[in-house]
Amino acid sequence: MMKEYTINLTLLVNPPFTDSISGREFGEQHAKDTQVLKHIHDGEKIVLTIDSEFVKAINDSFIKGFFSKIFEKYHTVEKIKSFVELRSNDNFQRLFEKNWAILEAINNA
Amino acid sequence: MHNFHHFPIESGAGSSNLIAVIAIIISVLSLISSIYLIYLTKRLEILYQEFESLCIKNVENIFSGLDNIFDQNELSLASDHRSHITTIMTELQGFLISLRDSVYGKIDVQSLIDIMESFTEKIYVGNDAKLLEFKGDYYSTKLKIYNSLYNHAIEKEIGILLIFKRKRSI
Repeated sequence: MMKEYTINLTLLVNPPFTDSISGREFGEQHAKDTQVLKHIHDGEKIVLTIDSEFVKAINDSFIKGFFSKIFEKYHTVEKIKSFVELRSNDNFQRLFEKNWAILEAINNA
Repeated sequence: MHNFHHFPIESGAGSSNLIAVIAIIISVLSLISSIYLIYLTKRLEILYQEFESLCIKNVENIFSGLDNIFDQNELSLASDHRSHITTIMTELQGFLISLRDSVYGKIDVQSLIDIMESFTEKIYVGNDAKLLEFKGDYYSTKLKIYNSLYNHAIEKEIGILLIFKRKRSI
C-alpha cells in the first residue's frame, strides 16, 4: 500500500474573509511549497482534500498552475490518477478532472 | 516603256499566325485562371461556412450560458457565480482542444486559455463586486476570443489556400 501525503487545500482559504482559491502562479507556488513532485518521486500517494463548507470556488487557473509541472513530467491523466486522489465534492471532482484532461491535451500537443 | 521593278512582297501570313497563337494562349490562360479563381472563391466560401458551423456556432452556444448569467444576475455578487463561470470557461477550453485535435490543428489553445484566465481571475479577486462591474471585461474577453479564432482562420487555415498549400493536421 502506498504511503499517503495529504495536501489540505482548505487551508488556502481564510474564512470568513476568503472562500475561494485562484491564480496560476499561486498554484505553481503551492506545488513547490508542498514539494509535491518530490513526494510523487518518492512513491507516495498525493491526497488532496477540499472541504466544500469553507472552499466555495476554485478557479481553473489554480488547478492548471498546481499540476503544470506534474503533467510536464508524467503526461497523462491515467498516470496522474494512479498517484493523486482528490477528496472533495462532485463539483470539484469534475472540475479537476476536466482540467487534467486539458493539461494532458496541452502538454501532449 | 515602263520599267517594272520587282520588289519582294511580304504576305504577312507568318506574323499574323504568331499573333493569333499568342492570343489563343493568352485566352486559354485567362480562362484557366478564371476557372481556378472561381474554384478558390467557392472553396474559401465553403471553408468559411465550415469554420462558422464547426467553431463559431459552438463557441456561441457555450458563451450563451455566460451571457445568461451576466444578463440575469447583474446586481448579484460576482462571487455567487464564480464556480458557474469557471465551469463554462473550462467547458469552452475543452471544446477548443477537441476542435484543435480533430479539425483545426493550428489553433493556439494556450493563448485562448490565457485570455479566459485573465478574465476569471478578476472575478475571483473582486469578492464584493457585483456581476455588472465585470460585464465590460466579459464582452472584451469574448471579443478577444472571437478575434483570435477568426484571425486563426484567415491567417493559418483559410489563408494557406492562397498559396496552394492548404494542409490540415488530421
